[in-house]
Amino acid sequence: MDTIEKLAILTDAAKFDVACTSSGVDRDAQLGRLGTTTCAGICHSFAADGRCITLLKVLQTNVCVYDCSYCVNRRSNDIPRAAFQPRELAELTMGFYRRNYIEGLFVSSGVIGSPDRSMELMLETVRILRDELGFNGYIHAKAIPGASPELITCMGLLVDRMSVNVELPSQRSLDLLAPDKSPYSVLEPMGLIAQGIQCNQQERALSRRLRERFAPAGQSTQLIVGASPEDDYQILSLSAALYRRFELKRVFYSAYLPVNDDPLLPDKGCLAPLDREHRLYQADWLTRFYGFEVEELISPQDPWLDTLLDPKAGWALAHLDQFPVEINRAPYEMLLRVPGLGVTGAKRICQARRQRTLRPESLRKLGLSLKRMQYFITCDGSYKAPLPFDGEFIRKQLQKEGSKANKAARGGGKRPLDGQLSLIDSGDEGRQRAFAAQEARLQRLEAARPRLEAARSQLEAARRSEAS
Amino acid sequence: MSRGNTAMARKSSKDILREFCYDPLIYSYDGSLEGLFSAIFESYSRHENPAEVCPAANLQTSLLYQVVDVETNMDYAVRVRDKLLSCFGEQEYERIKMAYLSDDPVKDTVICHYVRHLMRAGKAGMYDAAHPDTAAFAMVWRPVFNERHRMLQFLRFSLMEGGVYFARINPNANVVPLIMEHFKNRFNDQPFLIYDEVHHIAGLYDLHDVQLISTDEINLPDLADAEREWREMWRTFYDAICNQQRLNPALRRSFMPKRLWGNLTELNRVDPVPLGTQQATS
Repeated sequence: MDTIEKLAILTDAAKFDVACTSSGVDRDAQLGRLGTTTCAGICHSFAADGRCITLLKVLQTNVCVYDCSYCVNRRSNDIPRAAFQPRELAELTMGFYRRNYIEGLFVSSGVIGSPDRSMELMLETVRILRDELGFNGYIHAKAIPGASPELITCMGLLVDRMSVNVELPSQRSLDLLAPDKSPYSVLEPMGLIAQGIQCNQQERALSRRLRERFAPAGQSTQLIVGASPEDDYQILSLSAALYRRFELKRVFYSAYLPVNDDPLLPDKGCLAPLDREHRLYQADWLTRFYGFEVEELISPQDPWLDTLLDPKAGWALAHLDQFPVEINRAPYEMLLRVPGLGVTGAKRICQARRQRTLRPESLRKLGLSLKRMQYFITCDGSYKAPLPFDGEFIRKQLQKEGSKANKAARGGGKRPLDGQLSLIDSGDEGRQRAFAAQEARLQRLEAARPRLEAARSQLEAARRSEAS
Repeated sequence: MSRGNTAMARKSSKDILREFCYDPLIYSYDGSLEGLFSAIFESYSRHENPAEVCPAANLQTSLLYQVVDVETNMDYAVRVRDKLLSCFGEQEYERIKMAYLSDDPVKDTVICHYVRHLMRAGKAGMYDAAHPDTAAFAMVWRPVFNERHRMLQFLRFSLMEGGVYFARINPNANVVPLIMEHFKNRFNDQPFLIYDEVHHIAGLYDLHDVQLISTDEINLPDLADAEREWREMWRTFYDAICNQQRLNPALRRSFMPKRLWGNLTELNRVDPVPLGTQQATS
């Protein structure tokens, strides 16, 4: 098989991993080495699905001994399999990099034989790139759950970012849909990486001579949304805990695209929950950059984000007593909470209002759009939005704007509007069926557990007596 | 140019009234940065506040305005540059240079008024984003900055016979001087040539220095042997990475404007650099 065929197969196998960022680390040019990295990252292209292409995202191999039901590469699927030779992949990366196609390499892998074997192959690719070919660009590598700590440490010292995918947001779903993985096997390497990063930072603080850096761009993970019945509250609480516990740089949300026929999973005809994914990202951003707590956006009593309205506007409408805010006086933290105003806009306002009182027309001069924020602000005392100042009315107005503005972000006119009878119903039906099947199987597993435990303890006892 | 129109359209009635504060003069200069700085210097030495500044090539005479030809004077230009550097810092000076590289037809006027505003208001003028002059200036330089970033993203090199990497770009601002440093650092062991087919400027890196050459014609060697294969591989990757279930062409267009597709290997499947020596098209 030649490289181009492998490339087609192994890219196709990697496309369900949504992480594609080249950010988080600034590295200047080094003499005799090729490449630089920039902190903000650079997207080099955009695929027809509108997602950015910044790294050469491929699997080392899509041969896998695991049988996770949601994964396209599970061993029970009949698909073409391939594997890159480490040198082949390293040279491919260099060739693409030299043509300014990519910022670097994103390498992941199926489990070929054992987790260690997969890690070794990826490690060899990365080693050839860094040591032999003198590649100084960005590398993002996956840690395979279950791989040895030594291999993960070696990898961390060569790459910029590492990640381990949690994939399913609860232990139950993981038991059910990924029988070969346990939550422990996922969280263990995550802990190792977090520890490695921390140790490395402390060592570097002590000695300037230490040039080695351990995953300087941090680590990230991915959660699949919509393959299992967890609600948004559970997902957001989990990611908040991950951010806290492992100091993750990013949690990616991936709307489940039905790829396998499996009674435990949503039907193949189901629409991917793209709206939900979009809202989860918005909520994620609010907690990371806008000073929101998860509990402010969503509660266990009402555990779903509104798909028709963004979470920030939802919060503002629920706290209308704090609005409208006066643009000229509101503190920066409050400006960040105004729907339609982002970090850049809020900073720009803070800088400009130091020089003069901002009038309604000044906001346009700052290059800010009034469309959404007009309902929540006064500008030098005047409120310019249509009246009345009333939650229901504002919600309707925002949704009218939103359905226009978000059409592009949500994939064109495919999704139905409010109150229209639609495909969504059948999609939901398929999903409900799958979740019911998941529940049934879980109950069967629970019921079988005493028998399993008994058998296991018998086995243990037999082994022990044999040994003695 | 549409950009220029928006910059003007954003002026409120108050701003339009301000137009009457200007002297009914048009300064015409030779189009160089030195010329523009000389014009700014002249406006001070002659105690005038020109309503417009315009390169001689684009000059349109009008009954209302009197045209003043400004001669480029290196000494004056250097004095303006040094003043800007010492009063407002390197970053602000770079921003002014960036604005100068814009294709916006009002850029000269905007820069002149902005510099005069800065000299009047001091550093506060830089931060006073709601001031009409500062706002107009931001409308000119920010698009240039964005276009520079788009070129870092979407420029594509091809390896030519003889080992030189070549890229053709069609930016909407004259950004070649702004991107050479980035590519020089990144690809420090590969000689490359970037040709801007809109502004007819070539940037050349020969492993030591960067040179900018203004040229209408560019003679290229053949593509290197393996180049077609590389392109084919990149296109294969590009097609395979897309999730067919999430197609969203509108989103792609908003990130990657269609005007740039002609020079993108993955979207223009007809090889943009045909074999053999050819003349640059304008």
